[in-house]
Amino acid sequence: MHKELLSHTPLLALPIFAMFVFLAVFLGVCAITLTRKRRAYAEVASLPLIEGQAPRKDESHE
Amino acid sequence: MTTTTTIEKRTITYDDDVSRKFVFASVGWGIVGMLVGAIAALQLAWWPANVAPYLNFGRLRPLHTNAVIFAFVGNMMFAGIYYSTQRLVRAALPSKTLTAIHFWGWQAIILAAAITLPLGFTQGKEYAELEWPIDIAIALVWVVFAINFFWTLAKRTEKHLYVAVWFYIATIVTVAVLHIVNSLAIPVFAMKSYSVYGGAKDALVQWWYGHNAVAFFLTTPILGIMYYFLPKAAGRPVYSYRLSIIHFWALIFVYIWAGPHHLLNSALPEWAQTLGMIFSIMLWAPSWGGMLNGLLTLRGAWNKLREDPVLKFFAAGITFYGMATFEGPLLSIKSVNGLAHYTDWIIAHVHAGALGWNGLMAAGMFYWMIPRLYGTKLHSTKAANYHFYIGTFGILLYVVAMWTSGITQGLMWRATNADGSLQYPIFVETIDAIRPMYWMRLIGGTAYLAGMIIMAWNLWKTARAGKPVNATAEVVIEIEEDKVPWTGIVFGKPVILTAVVGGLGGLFLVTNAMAGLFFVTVAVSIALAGALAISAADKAKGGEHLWHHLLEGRALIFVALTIIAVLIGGVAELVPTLLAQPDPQTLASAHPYTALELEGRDVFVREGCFNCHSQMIRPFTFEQQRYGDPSTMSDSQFDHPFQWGSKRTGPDLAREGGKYPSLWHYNHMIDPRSVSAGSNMPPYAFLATGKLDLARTPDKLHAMKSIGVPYTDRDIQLATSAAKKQGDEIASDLKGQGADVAGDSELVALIAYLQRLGKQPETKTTTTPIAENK
Repeated sequence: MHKELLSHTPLLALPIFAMFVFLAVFLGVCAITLTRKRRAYAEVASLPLIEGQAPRKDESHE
Repeated sequence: MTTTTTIEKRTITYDDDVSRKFVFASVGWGIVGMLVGAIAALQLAWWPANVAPYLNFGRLRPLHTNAVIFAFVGNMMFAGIYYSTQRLVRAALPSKTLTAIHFWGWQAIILAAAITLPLGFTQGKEYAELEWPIDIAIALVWVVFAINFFWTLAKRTEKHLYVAVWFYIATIVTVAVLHIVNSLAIPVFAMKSYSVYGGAKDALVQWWYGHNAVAFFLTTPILGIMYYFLPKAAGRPVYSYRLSIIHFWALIFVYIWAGPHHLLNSALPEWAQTLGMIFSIMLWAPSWGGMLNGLLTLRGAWNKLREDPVLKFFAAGITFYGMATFEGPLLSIKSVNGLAHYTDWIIAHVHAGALGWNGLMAAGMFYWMIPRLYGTKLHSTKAANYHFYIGTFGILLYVVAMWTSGITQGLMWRATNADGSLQYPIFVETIDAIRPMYWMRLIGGTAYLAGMIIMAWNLWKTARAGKPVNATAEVVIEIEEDKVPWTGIVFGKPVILTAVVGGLGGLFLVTNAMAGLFFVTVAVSIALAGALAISAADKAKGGEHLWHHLLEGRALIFVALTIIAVLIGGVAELVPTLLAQPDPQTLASAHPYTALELEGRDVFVREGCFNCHSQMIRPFTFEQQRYGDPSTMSDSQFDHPFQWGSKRTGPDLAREGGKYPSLWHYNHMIDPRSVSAGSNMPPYAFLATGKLDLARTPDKLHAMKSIGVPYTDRDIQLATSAAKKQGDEIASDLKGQGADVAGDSELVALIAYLQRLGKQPETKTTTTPIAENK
């Protein structure tokens, strides 16, 4: 398929390459993020609540 | 890597005055924008509502869209961003001057739009209609906003940037890029310019901008607002912070690619259409990830919805976000798009997003903020609940009406008899069929507007009952002096991994040594295995100094990576088309518009005819039967701006030239119903008395020449006389048939333009293009 695409202009390598970068980043972000424990993010996830009441433990999702 | 920590106590007073101003500006402009929308809806259902030239549908519709997008949502977004950012980064806004310039500058821009659009000053590009001086003002005010925002980040005492702030960063940098690239135009005089892009190039840039205006103006800032205000209102943190990280990066990487789904089945190169379709379908995943993250934040707090109108609005708004982001990818599938495009289905989709997602989230945020900004309680919870129910009813009525109308239109356009002929060959038959839906839409929209007015009253009473409060917070700040150098982040393992995988992919591509499934499998495996290895290594170190965690504390690097993420898609998609050279043979046989036709085209653009008439015949049999041969790229190569349109309230005009005699067009403009019974088009009799300023015509040709339209110096010199001559011939022809109109009238110029569409000029008459063949 990409041969047909490149037959128009070599510049069309750009979208293929960019799509490829996206795929690598996406999978990387997924793997790095999802292999972390939820509680690793608990503190930062509570940032909006700091000025108000802190969430009760049973209300926290993390 | 070492870290030193000092502890300091500081009192912070937030600048909440600007949020108060933006909230009330949003509510006020929102009511204006929706009122104009209701008038436009009435005009479509009942044409006599087009009461004056400057209030015709073609001029009001851009006013409606600009007011709702940039005035209502824009002001709401600024209110939310300023309020939440100060609290999230624990720093007050740094400059009252910049804040004032931002607020008043933005209101001045809106006012300028409200004046110039009805006067017919437009660039003719949807959601980017404003003329070049206003475009420059937008860029400048946006830069002021950016400086104010990033200066606040620079002053922050909370090192970590919460996910909401990432979405704000993406909004600020991407909107700047989109606006500048799409607005590039060559000025002709004070309020007139031509887009530097033409035809398919202009279409691609415009919808790259148009779609991402939805993405980065109507979506990402509101998602940031969701990630801040929803946890506040629910009293619990976001359901999954991990999901929000994936949501953010996936969304900004994918969204920027999806623009060409507005141009499916058009003359745009097939590869660009395919990219647009694929990325639009991929967009469903991050969008729903965000939507579920929002709704699940309410887990365990659903009972609060009974009492709290704020949560009602948020829950319904996020649900509409889910619905609209399911419908968007669905509409981007080429076959579905073949049915839905140019119909009211798209209008339903847009309003599910604008009224449902943006409007309800705005209401929820306002009801939450105003009592706190005035140190009091909401004046009437009952009225807020009433607003919620009448607003939701209004949206549903609106959307159902437009779904029904759109699918009816789409099916009627393609319906054929047993012999293959069109079942509804007269376009206006389809308008007659959907007219009841137009009335239903008007009722739905009016109900929503009524809800907005109730909210305005409620917020005003709340503000009157309290006093403006600038929140003060005394915080214990831990100032960490992080010794991780910037190179540790920029050249961190994930970046290196991406570069390696990307480079490997590029190498495969260039050498063409491997292809297909193997090519993808190897790359994916490397990316996945590498990322897992990095994660495992981080864990082994006890989880300190995680790469992404470090990144979230470095605003500048975060901004840079966001820009790269956004630009990768934009550049890769736009550059191949923008650099493509037209086929020399096609160029040689093509003729630019004559001077008079160009003047007529300007009238067409000024009156906003593209709001109802497309100029793009799709390669479907039923379209060929109705309109003629499918449009090609060369048909519109000299069109600055392109006029492919996005909606057919009237028929396509791509091959209108020669279909009817000039007298028919004359009568149609004076009284559309005299030749097309049942038409809902406004009358344009005022064009018969409107005079062209032919002294300016050479300047227009000159501007066109400077952006690549092949006019010669002689064409430019003789433009005025050639236009007058062609106009007099058409007027003489009309006079012979009983229609008396001056040759230099706007109506004659418009007829000249319409008669040219889809046709190359005859070579022996004076209507011959004055440009030389090249």
